[in-house]
Formats: sequence, C-alpha cells, structure tokens
Amino acid sequence: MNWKTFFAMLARDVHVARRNFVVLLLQTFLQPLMFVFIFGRVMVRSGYMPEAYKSLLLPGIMAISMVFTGVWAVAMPLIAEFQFTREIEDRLLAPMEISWVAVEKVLAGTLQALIAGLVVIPAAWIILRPGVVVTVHSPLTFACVTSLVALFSACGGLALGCSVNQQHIGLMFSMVLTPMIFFGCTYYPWSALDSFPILQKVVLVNPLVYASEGLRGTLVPHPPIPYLPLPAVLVALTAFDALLLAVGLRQFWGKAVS
Amino acid sequence: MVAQRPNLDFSLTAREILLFHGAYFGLDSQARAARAESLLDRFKLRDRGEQMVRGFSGGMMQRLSIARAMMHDPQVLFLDEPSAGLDPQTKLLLWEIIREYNQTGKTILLTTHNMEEADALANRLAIIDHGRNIALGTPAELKASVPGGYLLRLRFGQHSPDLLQQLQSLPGVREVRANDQNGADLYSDHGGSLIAGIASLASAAGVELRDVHISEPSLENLFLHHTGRSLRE
Repeated sequence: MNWKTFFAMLARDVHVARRNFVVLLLQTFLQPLMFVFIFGRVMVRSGYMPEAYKSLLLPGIMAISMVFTGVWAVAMPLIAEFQFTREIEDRLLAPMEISWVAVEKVLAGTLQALIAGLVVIPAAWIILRPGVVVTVHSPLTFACVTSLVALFSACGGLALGCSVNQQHIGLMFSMVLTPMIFFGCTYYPWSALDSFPILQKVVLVNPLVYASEGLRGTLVPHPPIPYLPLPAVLVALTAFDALLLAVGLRQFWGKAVS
Repeated sequence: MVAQRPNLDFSLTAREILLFHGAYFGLDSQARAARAESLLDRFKLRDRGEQMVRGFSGGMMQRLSIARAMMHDPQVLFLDEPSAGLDPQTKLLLWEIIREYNQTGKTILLTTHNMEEADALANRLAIIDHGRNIALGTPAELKASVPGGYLLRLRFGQHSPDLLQQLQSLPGVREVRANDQNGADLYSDHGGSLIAGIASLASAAGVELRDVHISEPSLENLFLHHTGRSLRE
C-alpha cells in the first residue's frame, strides 16, 4: 500500500473542500438550521410543540447534516469525475491500487461528515436555547456512534455516486435522500411511530433511523420517550457501513475499469 | 499517460494540478515546486498557473495534460493524439517538447491519425488497421516500401481491363489497381510526367480522363497501398 499517494489524495480533497468551504457551509447547514429555527423555536414558543421536542430534534438535525454532508462530499465529485471529462483518471493512474482511491474518498467524506456533525451541535444549540438539554455522558459511545454515522454517510455517498448518472442527480435526492430523511426518525423519535406498527417496522431498513436514534441515545440520556437500544444501533450501523462500503467498492471498480 | 480528451482535475488550478500529480507519484515538495515551475514555463503556461483550468482553451488543456504526464519524469510516456484539434503554433511547440523529451532517453508511445505527425516524430512506426499491424519500420523504410513511391489516383468515365494493362506498361509505373468502375490507383517512380501518357492512352481507348490526383511519397500512400482505402474511409 502506497501511503504517500493515499495522503496526497487526501490532501487534495481537503484542499478542494477548504476552497469550497463557504458554499459547502451554506449547502449543508442552511436548510437544517432553518428547520431548527421554525420547528424548535417558532413552533415551540407558540405552543404547537412541547418544550421537550427541542432535545429530540437536535440529534435528528445532526444526523441529517452529517448524512447530507457525507453523501454530497463523496457522491457529487464522483458523479462529475466519472462523466465524460473522466477527471478521476489522474488518480486512478497514480501508483496505488484502484480500490484505495475509493477508500480515500470515503475517508475524506467521513471527515467532512464528522466536522458537519460537530459544527451543527453548537449552531443548533444556540438557535434552540434555552430549554435544550444535550449532554455527552459517555464520550466513547458518542465517538463510536458519530464515527459510524459519518462512515455510513460517506459509504452511502460512494455507493450512490458510483451508481447514479449525472442526469439522475435530481432523482437521487427526491427518490433516495428525501424519503430517507423523512422516514429516518430525524424529526421524531422511532417510538413516535408506535401508532403506525407496520411503518415502524418498515423504516428499520432505513439506516438513517439508527443514525438519528443512536445520536439521540448518546446526546439525550433521559428522553421523555424511549429510543432504540444502543447495542442494536451500533450493530445495525456497523452492518450498513460494511454493506454500503462493499457495494460502493464494487460499483467503483466497475466504473473505474471500463 | 495522456488521453486523447483532456481529463484535467477541474477543481484545481494549473499549478496545483502539477503539484498534486507530483505528490501522487511521491515527489517531495521542493522537487514538485521546481518541476512544476519549469514545466509551466516550457509549455508557455506560466501566466496561467494560478487559474482554474475550467476556463482553459482546448490547446491550453492539452499542453497542461502533457506537462502533467511529464511531471514525474516517466521512462515511458503514452500520448494519444497529442495534437488533435490544436492550432499549428501549439502543435509545433508540442512536437518540439516531445522530441526534447525523447532526446533525454525516454520512450514515447504515440498514437495518431495524422500521418504528418507520425512522419515527423516517430523513430519506429507501426500502422494499425482494424486492430491489425499492416506495416512496421522507420518512416523512411515504410515510405520506401510503397512501389515507386508516387501515387496517382485516376478517375475515368469508365475504364477497362485493357486500359489498365496499357497503363501498367508506361515507363516508371510499378503497379496499377482498379478501384471501382471508374477509378484506378497507379503507383510509380514519378508523378506529373506520366499524365500526358495516361491521357493519350485513355483517349486512344475512347475513355475520358476526368480527374488526376498526385501524391508524393508519403505514409498516407503506404496506408492506401496496404488497405486500398484512404484514411477517412
């Protein structure tokens, strides 16, 4: 394994992300933070939502921001670079195995998703306060869940980016990401679906459910309503990460060697 | 390796493209900076170094693609149609740089449809037609392998086997091939001086000579001789 090449590619992605920082910032945070403001502040203060909703909403918003960032950071460049310009060829021809180019993309996406997650906590907290309770009781569990969520978003980005053509980007957002977000227990806890027993089971195929519930479990230790047990969340997220990475690497190989 | 279509990294500036390419190939930062500087200079891109390549013209992209491929100083350089679509000035600059690189002891494998380019640059040349190698040698050897060297492409009202036979007997004519009902390719040692003889043979046979095209010894003639087709067919 050629680590020099790997880190040079990582440096390239960091450099490009830094150059596009403001655009990325607006792209990633504007919508979730507006949602936080309307639902967490306006609706709560006007009495349509209970005060406790603030604490349930924040981890969900964190999950959305992380997943959106990771998918965007990996999928969009891949879709563009595998199109007719074949921009990615300079990296595919570098002295490193082809699959490691994909692994590097996943690592870069994971880092960006982690940063997004860590930035959105204080940002949302500032908008929501007072009345929002966020505590990290077990830093290790928090680190595990957050890393798995970030990795899931980047692996998802790899799988999507290597499966979707440029003309279907809109479809990717409307058919994949939007349903994932709405049925991903981001704006409500999983237990809120108790009155919809079939839907409650169906949404378990959505990895975002585990991301939101996992973050909720680590950030809101005594929630007013129960959430999915943490061990189940950890197992499910690990399985989704492995599955998406395997699918993504296969798709990447298929696109790169054609 | 340089692909026919520029595949530059559109998220970077020209200089960054060279620097990161050097980094992918393990060059240290000092060596990268120096090499990038000299390549930008050599390819006349110094004043464009800090610009994003998205706005570059086709010629600039092509120059930068070749500069990038030379960044890590490879022993073998693959160039696919390096001068396709370039203006003559840029084409000559590229040829000069390619020759220089070759003179430093590096091998260059160049594929091209442009016979002039192959003739000008190649030490050893293979002509591939539909995946089959039809000729291999130095440009001079290959050109000498065409019977006579000159090619006269003739077009008649309608020719006959007799007329073709008679054309074969003209002085200096090495080979005559019928193309179709009206055309014939005549390979010979010389060109224009044969026309009077061809015209009089045609008129004696009662056939109208409608068009004559003379090619001097060239690789294109070689291609025609081997395949019976011109390059564009």
